[in-house]
Amino acid sequence: MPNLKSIKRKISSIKNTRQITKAMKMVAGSKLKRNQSAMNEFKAYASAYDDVIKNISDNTVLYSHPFYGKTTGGNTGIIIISTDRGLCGSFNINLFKLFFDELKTAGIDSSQAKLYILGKKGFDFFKKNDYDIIFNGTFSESGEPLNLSALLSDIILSDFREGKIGTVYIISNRYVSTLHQRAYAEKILPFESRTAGENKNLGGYLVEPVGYEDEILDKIFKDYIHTKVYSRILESFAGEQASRMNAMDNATRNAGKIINKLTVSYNKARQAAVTLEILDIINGMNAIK
Amino acid sequence: MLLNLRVVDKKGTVFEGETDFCEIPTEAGIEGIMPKHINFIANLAPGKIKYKNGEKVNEIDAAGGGFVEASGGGINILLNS
Repeated sequence: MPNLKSIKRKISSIKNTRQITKAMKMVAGSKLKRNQSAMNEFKAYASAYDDVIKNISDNTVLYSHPFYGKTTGGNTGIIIISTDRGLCGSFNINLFKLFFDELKTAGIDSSQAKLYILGKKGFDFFKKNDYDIIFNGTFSESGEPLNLSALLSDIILSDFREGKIGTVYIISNRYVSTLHQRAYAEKILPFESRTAGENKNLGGYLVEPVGYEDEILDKIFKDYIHTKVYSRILESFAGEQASRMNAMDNATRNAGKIINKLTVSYNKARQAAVTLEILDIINGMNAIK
Repeated sequence: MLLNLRVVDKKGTVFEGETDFCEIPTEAGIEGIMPKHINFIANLAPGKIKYKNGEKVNEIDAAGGGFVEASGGGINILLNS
């Protein structure tokens, strides 16, 4: 039978833990609200931009742009949006799993994978596994996510233009609901030119002012990559807090369960001690008689 | 046939709906777009986007720039603000 004192100490320490996880859950909850509204605000813009690029991709005239067409180099750039902090359940692990799955399904050799990592957790993981990390940025050090996504998309685009990377994937967690976040991989460069399909639009585009077509399209495509990265960061932020909230909620509940269990064994131990004492007294009395 | 106009900025959707005429300030001048307009891309110039909603003409401020893409009966205007 474990002694009373040690059980009591355990209970009080778990109670402390429960308090901490409860507080963390509340903090995550309030951060989630903020991140969620930022994500929702930007969503309309990002989805409109997606539609615009889709419309342009239906058009054959622009296929001469370097962002369209075949892979130019053997290396694959992979953007991974992880988190700076842990204690958010399987949020990051899901990303890493998906990364390995993607490598396998796309047939990419791990030496050809060039990583652009946002978030400290992802950096630590891939560094430990000896991957080629080209860019690493943490959210806590670089301030606004808008600046970070601008910096990252500039680096990606210049590497893409120089042919250092031929394809670019982005792997991040998408926010489905508060209870559900899903790791998601998407190819963002080069743009897929649709060759078949009913929606194909052969009309061409009039780009104005005439004579500046390349500059205008270039800017639109560049901003698209930036917008894409930024919207994914916002989604990942919201997902991170939601995931942390759930993880902390579970931890709080588990702590409660353990406390109940320990309380039962504490009561049992106490009862045993009381019974022993009574037996002692009765034995003593019997001896006197 | 009406035009599907969608105007968004980084804070959300400004307008989404149908219109039969839309006037957009672009770097190449003010562009009037009616249904069946040629597919079209341009940067916005500071000014006001005007669109007809029934008999009423509404205006949206486009001081921060952005760009417009029109194709297949739809106009997407993405504002930078």
